[in-house]
Amino acid sequence: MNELVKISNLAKKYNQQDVLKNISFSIKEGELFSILGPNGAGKSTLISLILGLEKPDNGEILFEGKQLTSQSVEHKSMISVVFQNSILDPDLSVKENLFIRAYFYTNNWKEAKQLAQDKLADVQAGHLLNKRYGVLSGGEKRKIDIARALLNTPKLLFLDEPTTGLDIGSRADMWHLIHQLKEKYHMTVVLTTHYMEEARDSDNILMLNAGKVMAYDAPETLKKNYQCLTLEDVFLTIMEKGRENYECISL
Amino acid sequence: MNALVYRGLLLFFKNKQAVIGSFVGALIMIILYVFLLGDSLVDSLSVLSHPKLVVDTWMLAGVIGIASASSTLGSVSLMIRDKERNVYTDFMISPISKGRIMLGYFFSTFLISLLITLVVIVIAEIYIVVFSKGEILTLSQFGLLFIVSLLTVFCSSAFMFFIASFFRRIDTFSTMTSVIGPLIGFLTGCYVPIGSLPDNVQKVVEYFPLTSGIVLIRRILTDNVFTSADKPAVATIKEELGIVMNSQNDIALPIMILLISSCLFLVGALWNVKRVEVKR
Repeated sequence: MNELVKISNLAKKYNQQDVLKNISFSIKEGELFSILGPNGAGKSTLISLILGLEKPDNGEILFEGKQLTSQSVEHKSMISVVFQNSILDPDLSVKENLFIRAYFYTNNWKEAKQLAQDKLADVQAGHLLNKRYGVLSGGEKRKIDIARALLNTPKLLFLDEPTTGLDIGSRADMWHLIHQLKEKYHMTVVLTTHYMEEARDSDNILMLNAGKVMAYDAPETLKKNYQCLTLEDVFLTIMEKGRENYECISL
Repeated sequence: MNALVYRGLLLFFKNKQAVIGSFVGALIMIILYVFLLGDSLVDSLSVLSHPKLVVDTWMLAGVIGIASASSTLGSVSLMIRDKERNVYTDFMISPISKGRIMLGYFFSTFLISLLITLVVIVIAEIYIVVFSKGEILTLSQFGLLFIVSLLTVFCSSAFMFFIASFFRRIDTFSTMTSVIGPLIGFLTGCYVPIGSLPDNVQKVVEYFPLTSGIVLIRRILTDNVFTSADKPAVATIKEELGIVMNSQNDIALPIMILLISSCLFLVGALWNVKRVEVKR
């Protein structure tokens, strides 16, 4: 698999405090990549840097081998995000919400309408078109959020805690849908989550703590290296005992 | 940008509280004059043939001016709300430039305020003709009133946009709007006639950009109502009520003030938004 994103020696400080300390890793095309870490580990900053919302103090981010400026159309058409908290307007209908966003990519209302309907069909939510977004259930809202994120058919889709607040059934449906869409659009999906079991299907996992990469490997390799049976145990071992100590902490 | 303007309009007009809220400033002024200040002001203008008509038109001109300012507060808060709930980030990663995002917020605020101000103008004119028995404005006066209102709304939108660019939290902005709404009424000499304010305050009022727009609106609306042989008295009253400023009757200066200050506020707001983001 080719490298879609290559990050080298990325560093970021806020108020003289290191938030990211020279981290390096790469995300390969078509993989499901998970970024894990406790609160304050630097996950949000890392994502903001990849999205081009902030500039790094040091290091570089290459997309398909190229350094893209955050304002370039190429960069913006490559990336999309499903935010943890919904960013759509609860007072507007699903149709209005998606038409408005679709217009950003088409600059034409007719094409925007078609694009929005196509993406809504992709998430099997065509029946919600005329409903007010604010009255939808948690699972339905997530589907519409995903439809919004698909409007530019991104190569790289970020899922920020995508199943937080969803019941078990909706969570399973959501993952089924995400895998389906990943295959359909050959997308690379980057996931941040606190649910370790959701990261187990990842091709690679990056574990961050205090701005440093604590572990970066495939889930099975991590379990083997840290002599743990589950990813939760790997995570706890890394976070609580440090990477030098390979003794597994079992839940 | 069209999509953002459309979104701003949809969100504002679907929110009944925001629509009603944008009339509150104007409503305060009407209540102030109907129940408190109106009669005493009419009494003090007894030298005129139709003092009640003068006070009514003067008050309604202020209502139009206040509406043009207070109607921007509800819609301009959308930008701050969006920053709070990641919506702004969503726009930032969409293929639309930062400048266009900002102008989208600005023009939706401008259009909302313009629509509300036009509604208030129609209501004010009906009131003047039906209840105050005044003359209907001529077509050219209506045309001039429209242009002046357009400029005043533009300046109000730019001013509020500039103020909003300093805020990142909606609750602090809401607290500020509860102060700035009534303050604008005083700063433009709408709640209390300019002449009755202390000299220092009068200076502030004169140099406050929105006052120029409101002075012009007053001048157009009161054009047909001053009937008195006592010319010096009329001139003094016009100065006291803020219909004429600094004894100048030309419209070029207030229009220049409106245009220049609008541009300065708008550029200041765009620069400020960029500065805050870089700092972040």
